[in-house]
Amino acid sequence: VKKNFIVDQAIYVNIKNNCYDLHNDYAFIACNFAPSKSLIYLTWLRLDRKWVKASYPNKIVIVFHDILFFYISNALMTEKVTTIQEIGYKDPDDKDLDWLNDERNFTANSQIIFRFENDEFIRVGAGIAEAKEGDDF
Amino acid sequence: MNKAAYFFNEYINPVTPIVEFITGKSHESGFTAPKSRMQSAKEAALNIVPAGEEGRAALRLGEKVTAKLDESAVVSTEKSAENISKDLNGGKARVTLRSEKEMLRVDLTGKPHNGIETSHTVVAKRNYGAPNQPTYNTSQKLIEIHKTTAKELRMIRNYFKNNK
Repeated sequence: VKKNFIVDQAIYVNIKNNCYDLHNDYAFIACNFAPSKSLIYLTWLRLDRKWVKASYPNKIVIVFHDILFFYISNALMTEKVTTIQEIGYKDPDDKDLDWLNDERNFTANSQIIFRFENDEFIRVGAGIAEAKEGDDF
Repeated sequence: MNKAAYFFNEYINPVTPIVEFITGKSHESGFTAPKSRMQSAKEAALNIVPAGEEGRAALRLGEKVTAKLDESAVVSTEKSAENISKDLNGGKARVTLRSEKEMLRVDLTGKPHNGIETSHTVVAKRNYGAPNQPTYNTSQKLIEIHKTTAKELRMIRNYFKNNK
């Protein structure tokens, strides 16, 4: 996967030198799949909490193009799971989710893991991962 | 001051913590070095315990004072964590510290984790079998979470001091 962002300390997404804390400052709100275009959109919405800067963009969206692999665990579809605990990477054939690779061990073949509460997760392998920041999507 | 007088004031004299509380200086340093007034007040509350019913009442009062001071200590730890985030970590919530055996992910501010308010510490044990080292088990079922301790906050301050 080619990507335009770097993950720092498992929760920060750095986009063009802007750093966003998806664990503390944003809530995961949507996973949209467009099979005919081979696109997946993961969307986070800025929280209205005392520690969150109002100047941060309202939304962070990560768009995956050319999907090679996609898995979403059940509770993400049936329960209110909104807090990401960790973002990391895995080789495509590695199913051991006790541990994740961090940015140091990211490779072009890596799949991206988004780990939520209670070890619920989304796993995506794709050609391109593009993070966007903004107020209107 | 002779040795006997120093020993009496340091270990026996119940008034010493009160003087320390008023001056904000420690007896140990000859009242030149600063000492936390909260610590002095705690020691004073625990020291002044006369015998009999009055003593028990004083002890209960002391317990109340100590409990109140402990609450202050918690507030102080939270404030300290906020200050580290603001002054040393560029306003970011998280600091990650790695050692040979474990990794600490400390969120100084932000959301609670499993009902534990910030600042809290997530402890992830080392996974020696993983191919890329150092690697730590960060699955939610394998981590431990606790309220960040004063000792951990000191470690974080030292980390920033040594990595300036």
